[in-house]
Amino acid sequence: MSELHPALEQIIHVVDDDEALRDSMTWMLEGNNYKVLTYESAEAFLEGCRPDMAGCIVLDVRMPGMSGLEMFEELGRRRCTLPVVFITGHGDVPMAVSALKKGAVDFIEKPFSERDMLRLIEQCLTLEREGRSKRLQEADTARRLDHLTQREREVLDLIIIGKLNKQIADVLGISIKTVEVHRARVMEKMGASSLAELVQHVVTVEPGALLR
Amino acid sequence: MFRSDSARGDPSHRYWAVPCVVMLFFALGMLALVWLLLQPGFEIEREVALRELQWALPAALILSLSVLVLWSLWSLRIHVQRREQVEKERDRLFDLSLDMLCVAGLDGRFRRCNPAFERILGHAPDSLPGRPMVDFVHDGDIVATLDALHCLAAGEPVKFENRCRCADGSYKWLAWSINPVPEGGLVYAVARDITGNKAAEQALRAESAFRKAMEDSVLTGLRAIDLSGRIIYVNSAFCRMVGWSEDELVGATAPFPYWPKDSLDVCARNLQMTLDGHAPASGFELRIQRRNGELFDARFYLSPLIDASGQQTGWMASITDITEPKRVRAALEATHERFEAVLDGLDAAVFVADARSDEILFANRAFKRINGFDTVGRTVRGVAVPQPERGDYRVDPRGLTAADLPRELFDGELQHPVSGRWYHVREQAMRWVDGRVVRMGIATDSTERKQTAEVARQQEERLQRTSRLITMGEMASMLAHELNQPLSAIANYCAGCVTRMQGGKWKPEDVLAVMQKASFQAERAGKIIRRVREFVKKSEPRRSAVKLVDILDDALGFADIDARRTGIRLVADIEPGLPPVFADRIMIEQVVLNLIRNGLDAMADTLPEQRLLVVRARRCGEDMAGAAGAIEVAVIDRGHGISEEGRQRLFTPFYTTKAEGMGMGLNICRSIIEFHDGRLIVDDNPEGGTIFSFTLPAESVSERVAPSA
Repeated sequence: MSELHPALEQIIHVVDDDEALRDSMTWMLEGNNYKVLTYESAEAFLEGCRPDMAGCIVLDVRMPGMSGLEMFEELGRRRCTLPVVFITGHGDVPMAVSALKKGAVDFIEKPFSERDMLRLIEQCLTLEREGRSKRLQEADTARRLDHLTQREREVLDLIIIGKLNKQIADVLGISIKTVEVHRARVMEKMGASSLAELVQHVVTVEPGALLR
Repeated sequence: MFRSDSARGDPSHRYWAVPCVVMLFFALGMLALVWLLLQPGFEIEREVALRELQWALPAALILSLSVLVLWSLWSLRIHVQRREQVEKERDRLFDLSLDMLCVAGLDGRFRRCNPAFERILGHAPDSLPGRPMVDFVHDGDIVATLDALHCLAAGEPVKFENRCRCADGSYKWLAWSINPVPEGGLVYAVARDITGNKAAEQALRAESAFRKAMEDSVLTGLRAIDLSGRIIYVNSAFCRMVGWSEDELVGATAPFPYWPKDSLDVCARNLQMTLDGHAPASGFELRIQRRNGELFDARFYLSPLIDASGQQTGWMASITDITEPKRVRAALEATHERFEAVLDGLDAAVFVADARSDEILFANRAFKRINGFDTVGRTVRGVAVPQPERGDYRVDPRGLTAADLPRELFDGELQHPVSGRWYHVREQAMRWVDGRVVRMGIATDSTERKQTAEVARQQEERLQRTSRLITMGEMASMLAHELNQPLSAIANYCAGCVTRMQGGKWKPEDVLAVMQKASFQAERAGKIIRRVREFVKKSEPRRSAVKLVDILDDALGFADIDARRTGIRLVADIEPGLPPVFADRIMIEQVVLNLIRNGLDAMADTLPEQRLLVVRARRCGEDMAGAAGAIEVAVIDRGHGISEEGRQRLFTPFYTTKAEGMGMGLNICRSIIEFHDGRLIVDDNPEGGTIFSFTLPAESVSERVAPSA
């Protein structure tokens, strides 16, 4: 997929009030070839937050001002889909658990090892990348569906629910030949190389199509 | 000598008429003779006649003269007789006159005086002539008298009054009327005794002066109107009151100048009421106006004005300016109301009761709210709860006299047996407004204050607990928190370096800078450790030999408040003669208090009669094996007990079953006891509930341990 939809550059956003931790995180992550941006507070991050951001967020739970948890909730409200790794201190575990239940990827307790941190970050980035590809794919399919003619759409709907060309011709009251032409055009327009691929694409966008 | 006007008339005319008639006849005779002689027939005899005439004329003349003389003598006699008569009458009048009559010279000396002088002044008329009038004049009247005499000398008649001395030395008022007769060099004087009049006049004047003074001095305005409503009299007080002069007011009719313009109808109605005789006996109040426009309240009292003949001629009104009294009264009322409002507004219950009879004379609203709204008139002993017992008073209020006042009777905290609320009650003996000895009580609900104080104390305790009696668990938690940051940073820096070095693409200067940062973070961690160590040092217990009894007493004293509030019996069961323990007094006290509190809390749901908490202290030798001994303190409650699961977690930090608990209490307690080389044990109470007990080594034992601790 990624070759079909070249990924945006993924950036790791580190939000922590401790300057030493931000600096050391940058040093550590850059050593692993990640691009890092740091923010000294939740507010600072939210200010620079864009919908088209790619990457993930490493978020300290306990911060003066807006806490990590509050910021996470705010991201949810803003429909920001960046995966979040929480860093917790001593005694913040219950808080982190509740964050996890609300959809955070994971939490990591201070002090953490480089290996654990990198594993979590890689996990996040993959998740994010896949999610983004999926969204792109869906957008592409939707766009292609829009380009179908009325008749082509009708044919497509019947193909998806597993009708044969003959049945389609009967239902629509047209010749099998015509159905075949439409079918070929649908496959072309949807960029699908096989019937399975076609069905998969359409169903991700219109999950109800199978039930018709 | 004495001439009166009436004596100058008729008789003198007659005296002249007689000679005139005689002369007339004589003249006529002469004329008739001359005529006869001139007749022609008498020419012959004219000679004879002339001769005869020469003879006859003197004869006739003599004859007529004789007649004339005779007649004159006769009439003179008549005249003298009459004159004597008149003079006699005059003298009689002169002598009989009730007024004093006298003749004096212009030099002021008496010439003649009538007997009235003797009757009135007592001086014999004979003794007076020749003496100057001023000799008899009162010293105070001499000047006026001399003035009058000067006028006389100038020929003017005078009238004046003076006082003249009587023979007996007293003085009498005389009214003089003196006419001068300058040609005669005399004055004729009439003097009348007016002493009586004078006295009456004097009395009258004195009375009128008195009345004037009285009128002027009274502050009450007086105003009389006649039956038509016209003002016929005002006194000066009324003039002063309203600002108009008497002249302006007397004669005025309604509307009177002092009626305010905007309430003329009210004033007119009142006037009509007055004239109709319907003014209330208690008078009425009317707002009237001064000349300067200032309004004031006046009270009018009216009474009919009756003249000497018993006829009503009008109405007399007395008017009082009641602005000031009204203001004072209003101020007094306001003060009273304020006073009552303040007392009623108080949360404190206030009463005043007779010291002897205990009858409640005054109670404010709060008192009535607590003790019933019909308390006034009843006795304090009968209605008030809570109240001190007789024995609680410093002195018996019933025996106090006025000389002992004021005196404080009671000052303490009492609990209402039913509501359970606490009251701070103060009673004082004082003198009541009517002079009798009363006791005044003020009860302030101090429940909240007590609770607040209690909460404050608990907070203080908690603070002490957290700051001073920190456990290792807590310390570790704090340390972990503080150390996380630098450790994480160091780990990151190092990991970054390792990654780069493994990858082979690194610049020494970069790594150097980062290693410096890492070492700085390590220093930061070191500082945190140091700070914690100092903190720990500061909170180290200070142990000394202390009597366990003292510690337990203090702890029980504190806990007693809670126990009483919750209706729990606290029983101390302390073995006598316990040896001192080597301990930090405050720490052990905290442990005991904490255990007692837990026990009290655990009994919240226990039946009231079973609410009993025992604090027991006794020797036990078995703990310190072979040593002189230890002391065991046990806190035994009858509460809900502790489940098996609860018991396992009992000493875990942050484990709590209380809503506001921190979950540190028992943990701290155990730390403290262990620090004191003792043990904190929890057991089930066979009678239900829990027993927390700890041991402390007796002092003789711990002395050896202390230096190493």
